[in-house]
Amino acid sequence: MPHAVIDITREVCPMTWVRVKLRLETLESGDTLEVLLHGAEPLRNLPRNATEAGHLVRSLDQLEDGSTRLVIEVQFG
Amino acid sequence: MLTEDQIQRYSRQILLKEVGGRGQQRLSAACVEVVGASRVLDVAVAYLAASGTPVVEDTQRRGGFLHGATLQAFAPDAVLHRSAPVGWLGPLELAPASHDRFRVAVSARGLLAAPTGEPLPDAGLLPPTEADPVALGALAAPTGGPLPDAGLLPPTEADPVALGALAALVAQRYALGLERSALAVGQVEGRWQRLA
Repeated sequence: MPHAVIDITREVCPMTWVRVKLRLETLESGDTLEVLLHGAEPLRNLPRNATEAGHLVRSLDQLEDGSTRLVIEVQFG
Repeated sequence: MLTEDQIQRYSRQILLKEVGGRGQQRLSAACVEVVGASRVLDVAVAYLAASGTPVVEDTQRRGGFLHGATLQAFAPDAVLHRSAPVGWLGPLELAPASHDRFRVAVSARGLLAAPTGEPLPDAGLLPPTEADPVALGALAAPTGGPLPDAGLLPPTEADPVALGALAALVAQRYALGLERSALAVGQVEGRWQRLA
């Protein structure tokens, strides 16, 4: 079970990463955040954004409704 | 905690690695006191207020293109109080609620900055200028000390936009915790450089 879940399926870039980044900042290192996203742009950008910020991308799964579930493990400093 | 309006308004700088949500909260919790009137300060105020940092202006601020109504129109978070004394051309004094105070002093060809409790760097570090050395020396006045007469200072020779933006950037770096010690920045052979 993730420590937190955020649904950004109605957001567009760059607010997708802004929302995720703000949520990540509320978590501790080692926690996991489940991100529900929709569309090609966040699918392409968010895993890269998370990795560049030093976090770990744990999984990326396509869901039946067409959205994607991204699980990020928080890594700070 | 950032409001939804703040998240929307400052989203581009929240994206920056050095800022993020926590950094934006620090910028919004800071407070810059601007004393005097100059084009350099107008630019610095514009940058600081637009980044979400409340600005305190003096009651007799003269000239410039930024006035309370204009500033608040594009920077709703800029809280203007008009109570500070007039008579000092350059200093910006930033007082983040949860951090040490510090001072940024703008001189003819550069700026000096230091946390409160530490002296400003030697003004002699700045590049040669026609400025009266007494006036440059006055930049080292400690926080809380009497403000020198603005008339002592020479007209600014540096590009006011560049210097104002630089002053705002230095203030933001203190607020974000990216700078913790005194520094001096000046223009050497046409290029801005950190001198100390």
